[in-house]
Amino acid sequence: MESQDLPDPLRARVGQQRWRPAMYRMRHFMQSYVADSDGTEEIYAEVRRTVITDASSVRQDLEAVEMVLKDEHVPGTLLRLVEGDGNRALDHPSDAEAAAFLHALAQLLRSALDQS
Amino acid sequence: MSKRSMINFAADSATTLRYYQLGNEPPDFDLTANDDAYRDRGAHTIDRHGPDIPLRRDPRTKTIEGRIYGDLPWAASVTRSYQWLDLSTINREVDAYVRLNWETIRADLALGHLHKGDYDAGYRIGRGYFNSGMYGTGPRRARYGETTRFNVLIRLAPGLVTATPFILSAYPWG
Repeated sequence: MESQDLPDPLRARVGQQRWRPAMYRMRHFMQSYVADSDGTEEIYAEVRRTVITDASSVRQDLEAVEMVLKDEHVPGTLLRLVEGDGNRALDHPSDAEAAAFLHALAQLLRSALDQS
Repeated sequence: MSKRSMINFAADSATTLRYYQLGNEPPDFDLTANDDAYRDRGAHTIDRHGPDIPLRRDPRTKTIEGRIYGDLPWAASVTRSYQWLDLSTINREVDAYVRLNWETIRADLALGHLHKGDYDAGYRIGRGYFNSGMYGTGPRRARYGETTRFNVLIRLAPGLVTATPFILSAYPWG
């Protein structure tokens, strides 16, 4: 979303969201789209709705997921992202299984963006 | 004006229009009416967190505890599953949250985003279960808990000329 012509409160909100660190953005995404979803299809449908009105914010979410997956973390960090912020119970809770979940989420975001 | 500039200008105009349509005054919500009106669009507070959903696990029906295990008809298993204590509490607390945070909600909705917020009511508003074995600390086991906190997800209704918000979900969160 470009913002030169927006009212001040909207420009402020855009700026605030744009400069969030990747981990902050990732946690917000998990809390918003994953935590109360009942399956992957619902996550995809909600992301698509956002793509239609502001694809750039979904691109930033995808960049955040990719960055979080690329970075090194203290053990347990990815697991807390998925089971804590995302409220998703894993069958074999571990960072490896959490990473697999996040990779699938990144693919879902790419697919949603490809449809735009 | 370049094509890209024209697209950006059009997007900014639509966003600004939504912002002014949403107005300064926060709306009130009746969650039962909200879910009836926007069920097809995904509204699910009463369906997943309503006070009438059976609490304890029962393989014959949907329960709050059963969501921890992904029992049918739940499609996914979760680490926390809570329900509101009663309908009047939902409406009262969601309205309180919306009134206190309207400028942020309004901006998020105008920008076309899914608004997510959280709030601590300061008294017991929900009950349910959390997985005491989460984070790999043990086997999956639902443990009862009560909470004062909840999360809210708010969206704009699709396809309407005037920007109209609805509650996608408001759910207790422990």
